Amino acid sequence: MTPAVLLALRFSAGGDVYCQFTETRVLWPFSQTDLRYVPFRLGQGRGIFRFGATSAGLRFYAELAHELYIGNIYACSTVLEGLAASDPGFLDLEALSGSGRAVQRDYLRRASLEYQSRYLGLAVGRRVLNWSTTFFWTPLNIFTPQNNLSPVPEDVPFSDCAFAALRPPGPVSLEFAYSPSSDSWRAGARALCYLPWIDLVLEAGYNRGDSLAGAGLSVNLLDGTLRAEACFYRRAEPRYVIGYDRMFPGSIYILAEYYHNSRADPAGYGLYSFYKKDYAGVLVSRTYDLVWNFALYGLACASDGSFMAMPLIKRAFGRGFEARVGAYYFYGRDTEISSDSSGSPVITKGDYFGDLWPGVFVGVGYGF
Amino acid sequence: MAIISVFLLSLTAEEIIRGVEDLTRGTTTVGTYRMEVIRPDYQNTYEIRFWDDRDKSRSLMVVTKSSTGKDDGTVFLKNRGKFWMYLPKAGKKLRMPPSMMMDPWMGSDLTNDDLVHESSLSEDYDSRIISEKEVPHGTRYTLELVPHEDAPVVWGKIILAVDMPGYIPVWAEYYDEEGKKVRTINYSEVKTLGGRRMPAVVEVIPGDKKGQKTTLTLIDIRFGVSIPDERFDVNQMERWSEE
Repeated sequence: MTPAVLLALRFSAGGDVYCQFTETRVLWPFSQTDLRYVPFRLGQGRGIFRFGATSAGLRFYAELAHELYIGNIYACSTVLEGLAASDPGFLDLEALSGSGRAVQRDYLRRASLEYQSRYLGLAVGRRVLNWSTTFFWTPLNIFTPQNNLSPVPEDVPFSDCAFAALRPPGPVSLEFAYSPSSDSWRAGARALCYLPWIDLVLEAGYNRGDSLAGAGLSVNLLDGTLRAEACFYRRAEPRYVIGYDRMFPGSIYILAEYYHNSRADPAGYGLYSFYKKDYAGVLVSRTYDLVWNFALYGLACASDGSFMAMPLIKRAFGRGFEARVGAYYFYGRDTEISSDSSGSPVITKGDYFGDLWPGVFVGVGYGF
Repeated sequence: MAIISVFLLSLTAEEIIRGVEDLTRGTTTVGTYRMEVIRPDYQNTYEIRFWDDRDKSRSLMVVTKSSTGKDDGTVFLKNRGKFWMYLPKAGKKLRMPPSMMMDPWMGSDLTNDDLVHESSLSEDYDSRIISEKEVPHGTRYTLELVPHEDAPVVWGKIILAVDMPGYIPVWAEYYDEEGKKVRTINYSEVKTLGGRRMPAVVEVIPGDKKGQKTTLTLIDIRFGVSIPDERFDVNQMERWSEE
């Protein structure tokens, strides 16, 4: 690299730390026929360091993350199971260690090299590749899918991918992406069209063994925005989302979405037993004087009548500090295990938001 | 001096308002400002680069730096009355609901509309001069602006003080439809920026909240700059985020 290029580089650095304590209970299998709720107490700490360098359309960006989980044996076992099941990406750049009451995780959260020009955008590496139009449910987002039905808000995931964007003159642009993974691969192409009255997206792709095609749209309607996605798989059944969000007087923001998942197993058993047909989600949020934010999330499974409610209060203070306190409430029938006449265990799967105990959490974060 | 006095006497409220808008916006404007949002026990600072094309009603703002780092690279684009936002950390581009235009922008005491100028003082308000007085370097005119019935604004009226000659805004008071003062804007530190003498600091103070204000400080500004169409292209927002 020549001195001239080095001089033209602009560096940026920053990060954030966040600590949270959660108290709830989880349904724990003590034996083949014995499920019991046990205490779940978990302290989480996460530190992220960000680094970026930009010059003449080129940009390198990276994030390193360290996570620490301290809790009782059930909490740490649940965390370990979740982390072990998560997709490590194309290159497993994660060090996971822990036993008993402490789990540590160090990983490369983002690392990408990007190039942007008038007609072309290129990127390779570990990054967010968010192909969604809607919020709670995003069937078109095949590269960095986020489980928004999880009662615990998840981190924005990454995808190890190669990405290209073509931006010819006019309202239409094209995007292509390929993401290899240790177990399977994903690829997709989409056309985006931004017109004054509508944003449209058409997508085709291959997602872990099945091909898909879909479309999304956003349109301003009655002072709000109507957003929708439809996704059709060759083998699996289609999924549809429709939602609407707008700001009301008094800075009250309301988002509502409805999701139809044809993939559901009507009998409630088998591979798709955790997928139900219809869901509804609502977010009501109000920010007051920048420092206070009050939010209420509500997610319901219309197929079985179970639901989750999560009130959340955030308070900013000082320069970059934020405290939050929230709670979960669940309503739904739990999974039950009984014995048939021969003594073999018979599992009766509960509702979608069953098997979950109300809980509370408090957290403090600092960004710089 | 006599010539200036005759000129001032012939000014109408509409001409003064148009002069203020021409001074502070021009037809096209490119610049950078620092926004400090101050609360009794909280403070946040943003550095924002902006491009404004008044004739074609389009503007672009990029948060180049924020004190918490959370909003770095966030892009706001207004084009033909529509509004998009790009959030780099979520990797998501959003068409914003029109109802968000009148909402506080990034928690500040300014609305989206204040920043992207969806409404125009000269086009959306009827104005009249309600007083004038001599000040050390000329005359200070106080004007009352009442919005047209169909104007896309939330104010009941605005009282604006302008120093002439020079069309220098001094302060503005914003009232709601019940006649209650809801915010005051003070303009200060008049200096030459982009070849024009204008206030470099704009302080926005909400009417009923003690210890709370938002300060905009112009760092640089250029007027009459040719801005290519691609700057306001929704497809290019990711590019401006990383610029």
